[in-house]
This record gives sequence, C-alpha cells and structure tokens, in this order.
Amino acid sequence: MTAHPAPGVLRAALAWLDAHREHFRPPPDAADRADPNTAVKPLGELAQLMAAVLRRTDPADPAHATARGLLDHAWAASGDGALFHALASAEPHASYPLELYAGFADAGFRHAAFEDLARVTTGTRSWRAGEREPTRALAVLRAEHRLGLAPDHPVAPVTARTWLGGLPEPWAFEQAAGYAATHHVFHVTAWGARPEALPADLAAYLTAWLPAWLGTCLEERLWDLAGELLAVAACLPEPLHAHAEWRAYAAAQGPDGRFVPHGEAPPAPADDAAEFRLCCHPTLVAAFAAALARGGSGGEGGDPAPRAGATVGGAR
Amino acid sequence: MSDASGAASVLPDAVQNIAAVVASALAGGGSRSSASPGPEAAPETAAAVSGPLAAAVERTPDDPVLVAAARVLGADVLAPALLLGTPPDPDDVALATAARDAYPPGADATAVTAWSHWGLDAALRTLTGDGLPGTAPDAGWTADEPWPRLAFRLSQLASLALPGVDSALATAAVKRPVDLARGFVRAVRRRDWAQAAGLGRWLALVPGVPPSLGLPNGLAFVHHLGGASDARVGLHVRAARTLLEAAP
Repeated sequence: MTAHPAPGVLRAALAWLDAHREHFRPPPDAADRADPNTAVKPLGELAQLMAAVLRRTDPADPAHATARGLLDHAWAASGDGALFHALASAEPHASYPLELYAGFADAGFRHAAFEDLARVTTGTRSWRAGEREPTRALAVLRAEHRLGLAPDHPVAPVTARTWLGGLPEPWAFEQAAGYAATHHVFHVTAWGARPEALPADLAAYLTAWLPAWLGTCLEERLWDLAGELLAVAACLPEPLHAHAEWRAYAAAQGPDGRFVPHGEAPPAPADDAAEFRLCCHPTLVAAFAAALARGGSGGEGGDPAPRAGATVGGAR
Repeated sequence: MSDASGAASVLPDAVQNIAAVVASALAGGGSRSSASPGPEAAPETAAAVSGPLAAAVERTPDDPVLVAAARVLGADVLAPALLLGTPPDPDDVALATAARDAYPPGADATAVTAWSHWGLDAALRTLTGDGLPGTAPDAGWTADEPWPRLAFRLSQLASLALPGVDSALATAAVKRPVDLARGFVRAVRRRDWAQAAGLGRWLALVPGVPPSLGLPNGLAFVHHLGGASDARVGLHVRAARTLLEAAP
C-alpha cells in the first residue's frame, strides 16, 4: 500500500496558506464594512482550522510550527482581538463576531472587553429569539459554550432541527445540505476534538452514507465539499480511512499547494487577490481534513492524543 | 447508413414496449391498496395487461425483433408470473424459451450477458419445472468489486432480483446491502435512473438495508423523474414495490 496522501496534502496546503498569510489581514475599516463575509470571515476560518491543525499535530512536526505561526499572525492581524470588539460594538446583536471569535478562543486567545460585551448581548431575550437557520443556530450556541456562555442551553434540541439531525434520506443529498451536514458534525465534535460527542445513531448514519456522498463529490470534482466530507470521515468515533478517496482528492491539489473549490486542478501557481479569495477556503479545509486524517491513517507522525478542552499556546 | 440506424432503433423500441407492458402487468396485479400517482397510470397500457406479450406489443410470436427484445429483458419477460405467482401465459413461456435458445452466451460473454441468460433459463425452470439447471456463470467478482462498481453491475442484472430464483448473485447481494444502498444514493445523485431503479429492486429483495435509506420514497422519486423516459425504470420500480409488499 502506498503512503497515505494526507501528510503531503497538509504540508503543501500549509505552505500555500503561509505564503499568502497577508491576504488574511482585514482591511483597516473592516468594522465599518458592509460585508463581513469577505472582510473578516477568512480570518476567523484561519483561526478555527489552524487551532484544529495545532491540536492534531505533534509539536516536533514542522506543520505544527507553521500552524502556530499562522494563528499568531491571525491574532495579531485582529489587533489582538480588538477587531472583534469593534465588530460587536458596531453590530452588537449580530452573531458573527462571536462565531469568528470562538475560533480564536479555541486556540487560547481571549479579549476581555469583547467577552464582557458578549455576556451582555447573549443574555438578552432578543439573542435567544434570534431567527437563525438551524445549522447556524448550532454554530452560535457552540460558540457561546466555548466562552462559557449559555451553559443551561443544551445542543440536542438545536441539533435535532438541522438537516443532518433529521437523519434525512441520503439520496436527497445536495451541496447546500452537504455543507449543513459537515458543519453539524464540526460543531458537535468541536472540530474533531471530541468524536465521542457524536450520538451513536448519527455516527452509524454517517458511516453508512458518507462514502456515497464523498464518492459523488469527488466524481463531480467538488473539492471544497469533498475536503469537508473527508474531515467528517475523520471526526467519526470510528474514523473512515478513505484511502482511495484521499488519493483522488490529493490529485486535485495545485503545484503550489492550493485547492480550487471545484473543477480542474490548478495547473500553475497563482498569486493574485482574486485567486486567494477563490482558494483560501478549500485550501484551509484541505489542511484541516489532512491534519485530522493523519491520526487514523497510519501515516507519518501518528496521532497525538486529542487534548479535549485544552488551550494550546495562547496569547503570548 | 439510414437503413442501419433505422434498424438499430427497432430493438430498443421493442424492449421499451415490452418493458412497459410488463410494468403495467405488475402494477395491475399487485396490491391495489396503495395510491400510486405518476406516469405509470397510463390507461392505454393498463388495458393491455392480459394476454401474451406478443399481442400486447402488436408483433407476431415468431417476430425476430420480439425474440431479441425478450432476450434483452431476460427473466423480466416472465416477471409477472414470478413476482405475482400467477400462471404464465403459454405464449410468453414459448417466447422466453425461443429467446433463451436463440441467444446462448459465447465463451467470451460478459458477466451481464452470461448472467442474464442464466436468469432467463432459471426463470423458465422455476415456472415450468422443466429442464436441468445450467452451470452458473462466475460470481467471484462480486466479493472484490468496490461498492460503486458492484452496484453498477448488479443494477444491470436486476432481472435476477426475483423471489424463488436463487443465484450466486442474490447471495452476493445479501452480503452487501449497504454497498448496494450506497450505489442507489450515488445513482440518484448522478440522475442515473436506470441504475437507481435496478438497485432499488435488489434492495427491496435483500435484508439488512439501513432504514434511513428511505427506499419506498426513493423508489417513488426515481419513478417520477426517470420513469417517463425509460420503461425499464418503471418495470424495476414496480417489481421493487411488489417485493416490498410481499416482504414480511
């Protein structure tokens, strides 16, 4: 059997992310911008997924140091968290500053003034009554939990309302449902840190149907969603190894380490801002999925025991 | 060239016509309790249920196109008798016999060709009690194929998904229900309705299919989206429903 492709995918994806780290830096007026999806969302995803990479790599592994460097860069780019306080001050009843901040909190970074404000806003009846899509509601509640907020609000009633929580007919899978399903798993398992948090019926459901979803996404060259599904495969209490699927996925990685969201694999390196916006999410996902898969792959490095709940590093 | 292409469409058309008649017979002979809206409710084919297939498709019993089409459909020309337990029309038995004898598989036949011929022969033996079992083709591949390939190949042999006709293929299907169900999911996602319908029929026959698949709704879904353009989809969905209704 050939070596598992995940370590190579991880190395190359991290190299591309590291080479493009300045693109994650929010514009100076980010807190006033209308569209946080382009201005600050990539920074939050960088923090969330690098926190997971850090947790799943051995400190002696160069990938660990790269993830550490990217996390420190991201925190510094947020003005040591001041960005989230500014965002929350501008839109105090919006949930996205909290969701972004939670990724940093996972990596041990904290901003006291932001958390003070979040304690106030999340304690309102308005916050509880906020109209959110079910998977988004789950994301918000899990973010609150990571900050020690809303401890009396369990996740089960929220997970029951998502697409995946309904144990849907697997042949009804399509892209939007697929992203809802992957994020359900990421939130419930704390981005792979607590596979045991996945209920047994859901684990059995995913063990049965994930291969079919993953296979069709690879056939359709939907690399971004395929990467997320490979990450889900590694989040299961009994991870699916998916060796052949990993080989097909790895073949779509560009020579500079990036993934395009879908379609032809990139033939040559590219360095412009538009290409960054296109590739930053699928490439972050690739690093995340590869770091999770290494543990169950028998590949190099082995699996450092997950340190559930531990803060790793933190603000220095 | 025009002659060749004209002739080339005659056989597929005949296969479609016979499949529609068989599907209609299965619909008419099964339990009528469940509401089943959809394209299968076409009254003009429902009227042609009784009587031999040749008459229903307006061909003479010895029409070579009819015999060839029967060979393509394999055991499914006898599906109403096999699935509903009704006596087969003697003319249909004669047609199936002619199809079996006219097209023996060669030494280099594909698994699909060899198994569909074996299935036709086994169906005839089951209904008539005549003849000795032929040597079954190789089924070793069913143990090793990855699930997408296994599912695709078995979907092409869904005419062997029959109660009372045991085969190494049926045994293999019983061993891999989750893999076949994954194939159904993949086929629906690819909008490969023929593959989905064939797999749905196997899944209706074998135990161990995860209930979360939602097979009855899946069959209805496939029938609505794929049944209008391919009568074999309707045939397999009808057969699957009959199998599900007969299941304990």
